[in-house]
Amino acid sequence: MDKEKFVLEMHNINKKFKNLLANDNITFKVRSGTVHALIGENGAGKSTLMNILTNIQSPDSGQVYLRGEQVNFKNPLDAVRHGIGMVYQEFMVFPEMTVLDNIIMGFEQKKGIFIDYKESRRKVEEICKKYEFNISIDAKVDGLPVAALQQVEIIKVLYRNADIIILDEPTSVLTPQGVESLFHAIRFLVDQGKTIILITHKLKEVLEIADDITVLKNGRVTGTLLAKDTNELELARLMVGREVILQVEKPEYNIGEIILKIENLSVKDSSRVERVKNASFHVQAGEILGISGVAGSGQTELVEALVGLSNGNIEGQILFNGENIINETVAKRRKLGIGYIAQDRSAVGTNKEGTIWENAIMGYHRTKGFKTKHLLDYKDINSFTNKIIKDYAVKVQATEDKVKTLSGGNIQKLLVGREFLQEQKLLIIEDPTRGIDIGSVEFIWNRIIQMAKEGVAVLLISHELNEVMQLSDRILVMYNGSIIEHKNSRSLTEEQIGLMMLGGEIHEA
Amino acid sequence: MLTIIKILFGTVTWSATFRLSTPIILTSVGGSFSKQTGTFCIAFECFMLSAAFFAAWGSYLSGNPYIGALLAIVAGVILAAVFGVFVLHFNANPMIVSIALNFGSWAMTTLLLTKVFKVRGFFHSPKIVNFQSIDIPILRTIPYIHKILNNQIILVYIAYISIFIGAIIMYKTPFGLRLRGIGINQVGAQTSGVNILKYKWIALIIMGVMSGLGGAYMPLSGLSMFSENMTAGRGFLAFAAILVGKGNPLKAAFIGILFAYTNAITLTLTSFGVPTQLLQMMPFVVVILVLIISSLKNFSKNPTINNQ
Amino acid sequence: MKLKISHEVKKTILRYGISIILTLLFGSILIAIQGESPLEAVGHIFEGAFGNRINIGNTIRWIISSLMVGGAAIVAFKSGVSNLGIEGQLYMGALSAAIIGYSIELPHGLHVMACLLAASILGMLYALIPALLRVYFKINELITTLILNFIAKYLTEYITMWIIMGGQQSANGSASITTPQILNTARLSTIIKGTTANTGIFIALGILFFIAFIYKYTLEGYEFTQIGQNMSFARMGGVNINKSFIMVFLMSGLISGMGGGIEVTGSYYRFMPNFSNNLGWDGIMITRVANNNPLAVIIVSIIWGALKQGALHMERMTTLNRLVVIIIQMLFVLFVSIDYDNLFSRWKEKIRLKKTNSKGGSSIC
Repeated sequence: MDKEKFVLEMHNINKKFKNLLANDNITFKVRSGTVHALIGENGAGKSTLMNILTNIQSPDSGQVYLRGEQVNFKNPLDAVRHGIGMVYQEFMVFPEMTVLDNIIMGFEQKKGIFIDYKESRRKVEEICKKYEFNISIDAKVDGLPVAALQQVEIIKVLYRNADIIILDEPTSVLTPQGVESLFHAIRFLVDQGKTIILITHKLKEVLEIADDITVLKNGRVTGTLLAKDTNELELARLMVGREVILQVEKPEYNIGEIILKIENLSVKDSSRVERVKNASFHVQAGEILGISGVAGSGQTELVEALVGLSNGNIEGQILFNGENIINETVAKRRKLGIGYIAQDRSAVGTNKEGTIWENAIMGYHRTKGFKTKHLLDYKDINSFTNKIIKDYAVKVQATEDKVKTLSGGNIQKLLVGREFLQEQKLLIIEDPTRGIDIGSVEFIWNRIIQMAKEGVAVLLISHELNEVMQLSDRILVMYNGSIIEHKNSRSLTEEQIGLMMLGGEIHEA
Repeated sequence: MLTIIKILFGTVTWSATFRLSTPIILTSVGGSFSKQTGTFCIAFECFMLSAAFFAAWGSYLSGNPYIGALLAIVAGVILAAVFGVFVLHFNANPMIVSIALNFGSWAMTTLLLTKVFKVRGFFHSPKIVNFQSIDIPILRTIPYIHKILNNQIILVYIAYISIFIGAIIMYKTPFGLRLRGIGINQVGAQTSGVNILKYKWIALIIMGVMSGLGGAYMPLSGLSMFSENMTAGRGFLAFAAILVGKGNPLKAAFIGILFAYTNAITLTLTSFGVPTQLLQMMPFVVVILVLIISSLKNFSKNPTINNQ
Repeated sequence: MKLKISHEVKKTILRYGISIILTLLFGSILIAIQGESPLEAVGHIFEGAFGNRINIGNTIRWIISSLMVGGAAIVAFKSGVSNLGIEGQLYMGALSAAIIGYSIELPHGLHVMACLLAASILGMLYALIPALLRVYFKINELITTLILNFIAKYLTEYITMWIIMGGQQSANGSASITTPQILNTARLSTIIKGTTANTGIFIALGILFFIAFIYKYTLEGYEFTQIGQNMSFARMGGVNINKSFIMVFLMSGLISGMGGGIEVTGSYYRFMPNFSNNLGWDGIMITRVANNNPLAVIIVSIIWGALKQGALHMERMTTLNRLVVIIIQMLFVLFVSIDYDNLFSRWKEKIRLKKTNSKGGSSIC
C-alpha cells in the first residue's frame, strides 16, 4: 500500500500520562478513500491517539501530516477546520435542544449577529438528502433512539465538511441490524470520497468493513495489515498476545426451584410513560437468565423495579421465593437475599470519593460489620474487605485508599466481590464487564458461572450480546418494554437475537 | 373594595413595581447568562452592594450619576472576575467563594464608609447626584400608562429593554446557542469547538456589568444615600429569580417583577398601619410560594431525593 | 501505606501553609496602607484575645458561638445537605429561649434546660420546612434556606416588637426593639467572672465530640457520609435517603436553634433583632475551612473566636477598624478554598509541555 496516497500520517507519536505510556512511538497512516480500522483492547492507546489527532490532547512528541503537509493544531477547532470529524462513543448531544441546534452548534450559519436558521436548515437537509439519512431535524434529541442519535452525530460531522471521519466504537450501541445499516452508510460515505477511521475491538466487523487495519497493544503498534490478507485469529494474537478469543467453559449442572417470578409487571416512569409492559418471566436457582436488548428498551426500568430503586408507578407482582416484594424497600430486598450490581459503576455502583472499606460494606452494613445496634465494627469490616481483596484479586495498597485511585477493572472486581460474597439467593447483574480489561472480563465471567453453579439465581442484563450468549442458560429479549421469550433460546444465532431486539419475529426452522 | 383595587392596580403600586424591580431584573438578566453556562453563583449580594457603594462614591466625587454607574459597573466586573478566577481557574467551591465574597464585601463597604465618608451606618448627601427622571413625550399622552411608565430614571428603561435583548441574545444568536450548549453538555460543546472558558468568562462579565448596574440603582434612584448592607437580600431575590427562571431572562425577569410587585403593594399597605416587618417579609414569602407553585408537578407521596 | 498517608498530610499542610502565607501577605498590605504596623496589629489581636483573664473569657464567649454554628454546618454539609439557613434557625431558637426565659418561673437548672430545649425544638421545626420542601417538592434547599433566613429575621423582629412589646416602638428605632431580660434562673452560669464565658462551652464541645463520634463510629454516620459523597450509591445500598436527609436537617436545625438559645441564655440575656450579625454564615465558612472534619472545627472555632475578640481590642488600640479583621478572615476562606493540588499539577503539565515544545517539532500553521 506504499504506493497509494496517504491522506493522513501520524509519525512517532508519544504520549505519557503520569506512569503510563499511552502512546509509544506510534506511526499510523491512512489511505484516502478507505475504511481504516484501529483496533486494540481497552487501554491499548486507541482513544489517546485519536484525541491527539483531534487535538483534545497534545502529544509529547511526534508529527502529524495531513494531505502531505505537516500540521500542528492549536485547538480542537483547528482539527475540524482541516476536515477531521469525530463521532464519539458517548454521544456529544445536547438533550434539551432540537436535532438542528445539535448539528449546527459551534458552526452556525450567520446572518449579522443572528443565527440564520433558514440557511442552516437548508444545508442540513441537503446533507440528509445526499447521504440518505432519514431524520426529523426539528425533533428534540431526548426522545430519539440510539441509532438515530448516531445518525445525528454523523450528520453533524458531515455538516462541518469533514472528509476524515473517526467513528469511536460505533457498533457497541447497535443491534446487528443497526450495524448492518451503519456499514451501509459507511460504504456510501467512502463512495462519496470520505475516509473513515473505525475504532473498535470487534474483529468480525473489522474484517467485514475495513480495508486496512492497524493493531495497537499496550500503546504500541503490533501490526499494520490489509483486511483481505488476515483473519480473526491473527488479529486476536496481535491484540492480546495470545491466540484466544474470549470464551468460557460452562459446565453442566442442575437447575433448582424458582427463586424470582415476575408476573404481569408494568412500570411507568415519572412522566407516566410505560417503560415495562406486562412482563412475566422467572429465574431458577442455579440458572443464568440473560436479558438482551437495544439500550433504552426498558431494561433500566425493569431492574429498578426489581431492586426497589424505581421512582415510577409499578403494577404486577414480583415474587421472591413466593413472597410479593413489590412494595419492599431496597434494604429489605437486600436482606431477603437479592444482590445487585449496577450498570454505572462510577456513579451508582461505588462512591469514588469513599475509601475501599466504605465501598466494600455498602448494602450490607446493617447486616454485617456491626457490633451493637448502631456501632461500626472495624475489625469485622477490615476482615471482610480483605477477604474481597484476596478472593477477587483486587489490586489495592490499603483499605483506606480512595476508590478513585483504582482502575476500572479493579473497581468492578471490588463491586462484584461485595455482592457475591454475601451468600445472596438472587444476583441482578447489569453490564458487569463494560469497559474493563480482558483479564478482568474473563475473571468476572467465571465468577458468575461459579455463583450459578453454587445454586444462586442470576439475572444478567447486558448490552453486550456476546456476553449474554456466552453466559446464559436462557435468553430473553427486551424490545420496546416487552419481554420476548423464545422456546429454544440457546440455539438462536446472533443474527436471530438481533432481529428479536428490533422487534422482528423468528420462524421456527 | 375600591381600596383593594387601588392597591392592586393603582398607578402608585405599578409605578413602584417598575422602580423596585429594576435592580432585581438587571441582576437576574445578567446572572441568567452565567447560570446558562452552568456556573453556580450566589454572590449577587456582593456584586450589588459593592457596586452600590462605588456608584454613590463616583456620583459624589464627580457630581454625575453616569460616572457613578460606570464605577459601579467596574466594581461589579472586577468582583465577578475575582469570583471567576477562584471558581474557574482555582477550582474553588463556588458556594464558599460566594459566601466569603458576600461577607467580605459587606465588611469592605462598611469599612470604606467610615474611611471615605467618615460616618457609620449610612451616608446621605445631596452631592450624591441622582439620575434624573426622563419625560418621554409619547408616553405623556397615554392615560394610566403614563403615570406608571413615564418619568422613570434611565436605569428602569435599561432594565426592561435588557430583558428582551437578553432573551434575543440567548435564543437567537450563535453566542446564546453555544452558551446554552455549555450548560447542557460541557464536553459536547467542547467537541463542537466551543471555547468553554471563554464563554464562561464572557457570561461572568455580563453578570458583573448587569449586577453593577443593578447595584448602582439603589443609591442613585433618588435616595442620594449609601447605607450599610443596603442591598438587604435583593441579591438573593435575584438569585431566586434566576433559579426559578432556569436561566431564561424572560422568566427570571417575570419572577423579579412579581417580587417587586409584592414589595410595592406592601409599601402602600404601610400607610394602613400594617407592621413593617410583616411587609418587608412578604417578598421573601412570595419566593417560597413561587418555588412551591413551580414545583407542584414534582410532588409525590413516595418521594425520592436525587442529586441536584 | 505509610507513603500514602504522608502524601495526604503533605497536601493538607501545603494547602493551609500557602493559605496562611497568602493571607498574612495580603492582610499586612491591607493594614499597612492604613498607616498601621501589621505586626503591632497582630500583637493587639493576640493580646485582646488571650492577654488576660477577662479577654480569655470574652474569647471563650465567641468560641461558643463559633462552635455551635460550626457544628450545625458540619452536620449538614458532611451529609450532603446544603443548609444555608443556620442564621434563620438561630433566630428562631434565640427568640424562643428568650420567651421561655422571661415569661415562666422555674428552678435554676431546669429553667435553663427548658430554654435550650425550646430553642432546639424551634430551630428544628424551622429546619423541617426546607427539608420537607426538598423531599416532597424537590425544591433545592439552597434557595429555601437562604430565603427562610430573611423570613425568620423579620418574623422574630415582628413578634418582639408587635406581640411582646405591644407595638410601641420607642423613639430610638429598631436598636431598642428587645424582649425583656430573661430571669436569673434562665441564665447559663459564667465560668470566668466579669465576662460572659459560660457553661455553654461544655455543651458546644460536647456536641462537636458527639458529631465526631457519630461520623466515625456509627452506622448512621457512615450512611450520612455516603449520602454526602454519592447519593445514588447510598440509595443503591439500601440507605433510606429521605429519612436520613430529614434527620440530618433536623439535627442541623437543632444545633443551630440551641446555638441561638445559648447566645441568649449565656451572653445577651434577651433577644434583640440583628443580634447574630451573620453568625450562621460563619458556621458554613468554619466548616469549609475545617474541611468537614469535626475536630478541626474546634480548632478553627478557637481561631475565629480569638479573632472576633482580638479585633475589638485592636480597634481600641489602633486606628484600625475591626472590619479589617473580617476582611482578612474572608481572604483566608478564599485562599483555603483553592484546589492547590490540581492547580500545581496543571502548572507542572504546562511547564513540561512548554519544554517539550521548545525542544522538538517545528510548526507550520
